[in-house]
Amino acid sequence: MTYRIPELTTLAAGWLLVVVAVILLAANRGLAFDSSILALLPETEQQPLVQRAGDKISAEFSAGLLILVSGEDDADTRAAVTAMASELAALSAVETVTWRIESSAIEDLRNELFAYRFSVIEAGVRQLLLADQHQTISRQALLNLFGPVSAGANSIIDDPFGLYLALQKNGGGNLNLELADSLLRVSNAEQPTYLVTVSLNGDPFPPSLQQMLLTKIDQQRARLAKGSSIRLSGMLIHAAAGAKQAQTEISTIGLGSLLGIAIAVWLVFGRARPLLLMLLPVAVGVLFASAITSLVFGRIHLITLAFGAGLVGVSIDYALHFLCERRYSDAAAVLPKIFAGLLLGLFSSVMAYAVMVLTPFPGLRQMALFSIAGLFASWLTVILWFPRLTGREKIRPVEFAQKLGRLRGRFPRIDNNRGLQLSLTLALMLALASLWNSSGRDDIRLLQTSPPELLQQERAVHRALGNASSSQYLLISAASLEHCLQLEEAVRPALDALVAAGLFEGYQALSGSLPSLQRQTQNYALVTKLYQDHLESLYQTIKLPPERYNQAQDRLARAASLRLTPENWQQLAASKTRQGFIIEASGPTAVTVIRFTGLLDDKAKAALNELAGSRPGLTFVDQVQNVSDLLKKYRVQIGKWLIIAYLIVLAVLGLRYRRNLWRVVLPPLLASIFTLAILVQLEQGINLFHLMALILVLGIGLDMGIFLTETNEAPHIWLAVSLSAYTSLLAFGLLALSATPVLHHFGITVAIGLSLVWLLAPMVRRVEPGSRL
Amino acid sequence: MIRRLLLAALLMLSFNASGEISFSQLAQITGMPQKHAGSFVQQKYLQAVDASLESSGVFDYERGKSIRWEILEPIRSELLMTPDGVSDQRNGEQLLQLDAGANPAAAALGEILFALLTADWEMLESHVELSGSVDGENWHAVLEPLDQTAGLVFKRVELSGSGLLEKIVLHESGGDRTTIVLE
Repeated sequence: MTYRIPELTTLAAGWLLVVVAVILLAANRGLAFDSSILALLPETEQQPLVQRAGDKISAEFSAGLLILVSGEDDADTRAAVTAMASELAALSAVETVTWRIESSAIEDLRNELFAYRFSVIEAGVRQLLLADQHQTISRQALLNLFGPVSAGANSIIDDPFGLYLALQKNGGGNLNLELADSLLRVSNAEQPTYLVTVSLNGDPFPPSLQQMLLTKIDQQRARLAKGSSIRLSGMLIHAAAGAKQAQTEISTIGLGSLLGIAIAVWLVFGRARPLLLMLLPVAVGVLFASAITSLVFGRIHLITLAFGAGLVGVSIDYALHFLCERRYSDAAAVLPKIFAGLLLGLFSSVMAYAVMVLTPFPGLRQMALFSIAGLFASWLTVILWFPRLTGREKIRPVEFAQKLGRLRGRFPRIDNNRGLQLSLTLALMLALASLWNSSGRDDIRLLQTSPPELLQQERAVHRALGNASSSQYLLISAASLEHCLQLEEAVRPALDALVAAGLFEGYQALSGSLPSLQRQTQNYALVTKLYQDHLESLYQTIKLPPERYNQAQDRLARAASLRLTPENWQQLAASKTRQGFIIEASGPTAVTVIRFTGLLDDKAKAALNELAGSRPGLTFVDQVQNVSDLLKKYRVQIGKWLIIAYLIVLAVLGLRYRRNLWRVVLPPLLASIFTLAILVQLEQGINLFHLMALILVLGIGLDMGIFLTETNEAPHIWLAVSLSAYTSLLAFGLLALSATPVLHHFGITVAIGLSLVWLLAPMVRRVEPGSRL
Repeated sequence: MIRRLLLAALLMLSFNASGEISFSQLAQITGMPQKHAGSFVQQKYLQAVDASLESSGVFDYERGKSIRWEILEPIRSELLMTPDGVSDQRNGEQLLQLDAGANPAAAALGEILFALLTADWEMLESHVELSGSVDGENWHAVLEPLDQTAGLVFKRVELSGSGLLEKIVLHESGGDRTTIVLE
C-alpha cells in the first residue's frame, strides 16, 4: 500500500466536514438526556399504564421537598419552623411553602364535606350501620350530649347522630399530621415535630437552585438549639448529594487519573503534545457518537453515555500505536506499517458491538450504536488526521520502550514452561469452579447513588408522616373513575383482611375519601334507615318537641340527591393531598392507585399479586422488583452477548491467525474469567456493570494481541499497548474508589481485568521474540 | 371534699394587691391527695334548639392517671378520662377513644378538662391563658385557649367558687355551653 500525505488531505478535510456537520446537526436538534431506568426496558414490556403511574408518582417526589423540624422545646421548634418558612418563601426557586393553616382555612377545611355527611360516612360508622348496630351509634350520640367532653361542635338538628364528627375524626387526613395552633405537627412523634412542605419552580436539578435552598436550610440548621434536628425528603437532596459526590470524585479520582496519565506520557515521550494528540481521537469519538446516537434515538440515556465513553476509550489504542510508530518512522511511513493491525482491531471490535444492535433492549442497542460510531470516528481521526498533525515530529526512538521491552523479556512464557501451564490450568479450574457456584446480584441498591444516611433520613421522614410507598402499589384500571372507585371498594375488604393478618401496616385508597356514587347512594339509604328507626327515641330521651324531629328529617330529605362527585371533590382542599392517587381520570381507561404504608415483604407481595390476579383491572406494581428484574435481564443478555462476541472475534481472527489464534484470544479470555472469579469473592456476585466493564477488557486485550502479532512484537509496540492498558486503567480503573456503586463496580472490573490482560499477554507470546508469526 | 381541700389550699395563698390570679397561685392549690371522689350535676345548653340537657352522677380520680366520670341520670354511662382521651367503659369496652392524632381540637379540650379536674396546672399553662380575680373568699378564673385549633371548639372556660371550686362553665365556639357543678 502506498499513499502520499497530500492525497489524504482531501479525505481528512472531508472527514472534518462530516464531523462538524453531524455535531452541528445534533446540536441544532438539542441534546436530550434520559435517566429513567424504565426507558431501558424492552419496548414490548413497557406497560404504558405502569409507566404513567411511575412518572406521575416520581414527578410528585421531584417537584417538592418535605422538611421535618424537631426539637426538645415546643416553642423553640415552632419559632424555628416560622423562621425557616419565611426564609425559604423568599427564594425565587420556591413556588410555595406550606407550613401553617390559618384558622379561617381550618374552618373551611373542617366544614367542606359537611353537606355530604349522609352519603360520605366514616368506615367504622358504615360497619355499624351495615351490622344494624344502631344502638351503638345512638349511645354515642347521647354520650356526646351528656358527657363532660363533647367531641366538637355537635349539631342536634343537622347531625344528631354525630356522623360528621366521626368522619372528621377518622376519615380526614391520610398523614400523621395534626394542626397545633395553625402549624402542622406530626402526631405521635417523640419530640415536638413540625412539617414544612416546599414546592419548587420547575426542575429540581439545576445546581444553583439546589445550593441556594440547601444553604438556607443549613443556615437554619446551624441556628437550631441543641437536641433539635431538621430532616429532609425529596429528589432535590439526592440530586444535590449526587452533584457534590461527583464534584468530589472528579477532583480526586478524576484529577488523580489525569495526573497519572500525564506523568506517564511525559516520562515516555518527554513532551506534552502527545497527550493532546492522544485525547483528540477520543474527544472526536465521544462527540461524534453522542451526535449520531442523539440523531437516531432522539435522546441519550445517561448509562449509554457513561459506558459508551468507556468503550470509546479503546480508541486511545489507535492513537498510541500511531504515536509510538511515528517515533521510529516518517509520517508517511507509519500507516503502511500499522494499518493492517489498526483495521483488524477496529473490525473485531465493531463486529462484536454490532451484535448488540440485534438485542431487544433499547439500552444495549443505544450502547452498540454509540460504541461503533465512536470507535469508527476515532479510528478515522487517527488514520486521516494524524499523518498531518505529526508531520513535523522527528524520528527519535523512545528510550522507555527498551526498558519495558527488557521487563517483558523476563516474563515466563507459556510455550516452554510446564509450571506456568500447570498453574494457569489450575487457576482456570479454580476460577470456573468459583463461577459455577456463584449467583448474580441484581439488587436495586446497585443503582442507588445517594449516601446511606440520606436514604435513611428519607425513610425516617416518610415513616414519621405515615406516607405510603411510592414504588409499590396496586394499579386499578376500569372504564371510568366511578368504576375504578367501585373496584377499589370491592377489593378493600380483602386488603383489610391482609392488614388484619399483619401482612402489611395499611393502605391508602382514593375511595377512602371519595366513595363511588354507588357507595354514596348505599350510605344514604343506611343513614335514612338509622333516622327512621332511632331518631325519635333519641329525641324523646333528650325531650325535644316533635317539630325538631321533623326539622331533622327534613335536613336529611333535602340532601337526598346530593352526592360528592369527582368534579366537586376536585374543588375541595382535602383533595390536594390525594391528587397522586388518580393517574387517569378520563379517557378510554381511568386509572387509580392504592398505595401501601410500611415495607412489603415477600409474603405480602405474593398475597397482593394473588389478589391482583383474582380480578381483572388490578395490577400489582413493584418498581423495586421491576428494576431488579431489568438488571437481571440485562446481565443475562450481556453475558450471552459477550460469549457471542468472543465467537465472532474467534471466527474473524481465526481466518488470519489460524493456529496462533489462541495467542491473541487467550489473554482477554483468561483475564475475564479470572476477573469474574475474583469479583465473585470480592463483591458477593456478578452484576450487570461487571460484565459491561469486561467488554472494555476484551477490546483492549484483543488489540494488544493483534498489534503484538501484527508488528513483530517490537519493543515500541509493547510500549504502545502497555500505555493503552495503563491509561485505561487510570481513566476507568480508578473508578473502583468511587462511592457510586455503578462506577465502583465498573472500575474494579477494569482495574483487575486490565492488569491481568497486561500480565498474561506477554506470557502467550512465542519464545523467540522478534520472529514473525 | 374537693371543696374542703380547695379551701385549705386557697387559704394558704398569698393574694397580691390587685387581686389578680396567676398560675403560681393556682399551682399552690395543687396540694391535693392522690385519690378523690365527689358528685356532679351537668347542664348542657344547646343553642340550636334553645334547650338545656341535664345529667348527674359521681366521679373519682387518681391524680395524673385518670378520672372516672359516671353518669347516673338520665342515661347510665361510665367514662374514663386519661391524658390521652376519653373512653366509654361500658361492659369494659372502649366505645370512643379520642386521640390527638384523629381530632386535635377535641383532644386539647379533653386535656384541659383533665388538667383542670386533677389540678395539673403545669399542663394547663401550655394550653390556656389565665385571667380572673380574687376577692376575699370569692374567686373567678377564665381560661382561654392559646391554640387556634382548640379555639375552634371552645371559646373559654370559667371557673368560679366562693372559697372553693363550685362551678365550671365551658363555652363552646358554636354557642353551646356546658355547666358542671361539683359537690
